[in-house]
Amino acid sequence: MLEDEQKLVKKAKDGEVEAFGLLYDHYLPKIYRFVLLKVSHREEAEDLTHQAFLKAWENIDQYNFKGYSFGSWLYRIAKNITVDYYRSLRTEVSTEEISELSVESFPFGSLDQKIEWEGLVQGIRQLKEVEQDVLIMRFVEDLSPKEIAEVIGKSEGAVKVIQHRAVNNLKKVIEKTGEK
Amino acid sequence: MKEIELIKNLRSLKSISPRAEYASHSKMVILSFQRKLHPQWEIVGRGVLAESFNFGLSMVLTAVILVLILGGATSLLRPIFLNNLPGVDAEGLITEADTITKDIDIQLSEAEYYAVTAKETSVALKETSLNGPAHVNPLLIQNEIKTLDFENPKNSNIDDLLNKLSQ
Repeated sequence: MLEDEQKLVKKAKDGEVEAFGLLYDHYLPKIYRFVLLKVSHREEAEDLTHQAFLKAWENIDQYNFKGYSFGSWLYRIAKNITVDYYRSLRTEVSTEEISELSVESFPFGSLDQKIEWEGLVQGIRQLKEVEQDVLIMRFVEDLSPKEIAEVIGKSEGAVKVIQHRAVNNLKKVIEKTGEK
Repeated sequence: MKEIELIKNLRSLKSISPRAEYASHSKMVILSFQRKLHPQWEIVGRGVLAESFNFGLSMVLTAVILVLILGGATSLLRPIFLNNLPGVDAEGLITEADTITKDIDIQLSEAEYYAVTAKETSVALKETSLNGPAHVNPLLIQNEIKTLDFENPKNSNIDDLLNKLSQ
């Protein structure tokens, strides 16, 4: 969590643009990664991340600490926005077209990294939505099970079970893809 | 693939970051958006002072409700409404109320009179039923008429009575 995060949130609530700017700088890479791994398309990820922050800024009055970090609240907004995105896509684009959106948009360094990430991202996308969320937040973003539980609206115990199942399923999917 | 290796690969995705150009442009657009503030409740809704104010306000409101219920809202609100409501003739209302009060007093005194009369009547009827209607017996009345003889100018009884009176 960002140091003095709650003070910044209070200032942002009072209309201090700079305070929200600091929160934006801290959380942008995290939220962007989360969205990009879910949609696998750079431009879409940029649009959706922008929407998420705009929504957060508009509705910051509705955020109350009560033990929930501001980051958890942001992830929840981003998660809901990606759900809406897929819902709208289902009516416009076929599932095959969606799966074609791949790691081409990713800023990889080498060819090896590209191959590695391609398999990983394709594997993540074959998991259930909740498993995707837990894997990304737990291993890419280093969120605690408690924080993840806040975002997905489940208990800590349930998060640990989902995490275990998600890792096993991802392993199976990647091995299966490798065999082909 | 081993689980540790898989997790290590997942962690390598952390190096993904947004384009600097996108980040600065998006930030500028978001922060230029004018957020609607709620000044009244923003001030009241925060801090220890605000909490104590809210508590005090709730206590005052509770007290007012209790006074209205126990003390009678009508007597408290009457002068306010009479003085403040436009188109209401306060003096006329008071005169009407006085007239109604007087009418009620008159009707009450009549009711008292009827109650006394009814009692006397019932006593008389009771006596009559016990003694019998002797005074309305036609034979007795005829005898009394003969005894008095009002027609006769030389009725000695009358003369005697007049003499007694003149003495």
